[in-house]
Amino acid sequence: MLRRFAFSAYEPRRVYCMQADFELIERARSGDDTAFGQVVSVYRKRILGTISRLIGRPEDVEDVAQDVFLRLYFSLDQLRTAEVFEPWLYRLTVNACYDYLRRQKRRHESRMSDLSEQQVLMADAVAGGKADQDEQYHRGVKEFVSTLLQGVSEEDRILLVLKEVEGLSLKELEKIYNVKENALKVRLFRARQRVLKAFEASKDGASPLRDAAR
Amino acid sequence: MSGWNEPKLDELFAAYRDALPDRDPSAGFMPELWRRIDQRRKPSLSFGRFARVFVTASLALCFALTAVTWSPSLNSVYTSTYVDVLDDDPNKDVDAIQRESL
Repeated sequence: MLRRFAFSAYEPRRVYCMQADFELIERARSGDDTAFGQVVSVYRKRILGTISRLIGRPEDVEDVAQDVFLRLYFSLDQLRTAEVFEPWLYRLTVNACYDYLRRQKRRHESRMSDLSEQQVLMADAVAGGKADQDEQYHRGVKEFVSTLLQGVSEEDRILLVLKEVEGLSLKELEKIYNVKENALKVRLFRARQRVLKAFEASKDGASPLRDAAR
Repeated sequence: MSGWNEPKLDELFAAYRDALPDRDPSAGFMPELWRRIDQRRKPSLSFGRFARVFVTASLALCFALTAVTWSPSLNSVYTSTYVDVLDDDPNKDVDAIQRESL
């Protein structure tokens, strides 16, 4: 099973490569605020996307992203070399998301539940005839995947999203988590199995892919 | 058993990514970020200033106290030992004779 997972035919779309040049990062590291502003401009769109996929609350995405860049600003001098900048930035992002999710959990175990908010919104939109098909489909997918991911811990959820959705390689995850590749493989395998079980338990008919994607 | 659903799950993850694409920040993103940076920088700056003032004041106090308590020694500098001094005393023999006669 592990083998099949490791050599899965599915290759998550890898759309990212190092975006900022090393010199810019070095300048930002040495305290150049203009260079730091440029680094933020280069990465903010991508970080916002990653955060939105990790926390699932659009209204809080910018706040968490600012927290990430704030942490970056005050810890950039601890960066060893510019080559490890991206895993470093991802680590800050993951940590900020953990903190956010923990705060949310503490604040309200279920503030009418994120899911139900989405459902209410969706129901409203459908009732008003406002949502077009595409939007409806995307909402369905978001809601469905969020429900599936609720079956795993926050840590595993983030790890799974980074691997399966963000398309990070095991090597990159190793750098982000400072954990051996094998340990990551086991964690990912277990998390994926749990999600898969939840997926099957949804009787498949509930999958939004069937209705809208095909 | 779960194998047949794995490709579907992969497809679902891909669809999830499409449903939540990278997004542009709002116009206030950068100004708000710099505001938060400045806000956080201020206490650390004022703490740094306080620390510098404290260290300077401590050094000044230290110098002042040293100057007040320090006074040049009035004692002459000894160049010989106590035994040498006794040995060189011209009255030592007289004292000894007087003591014996007593």
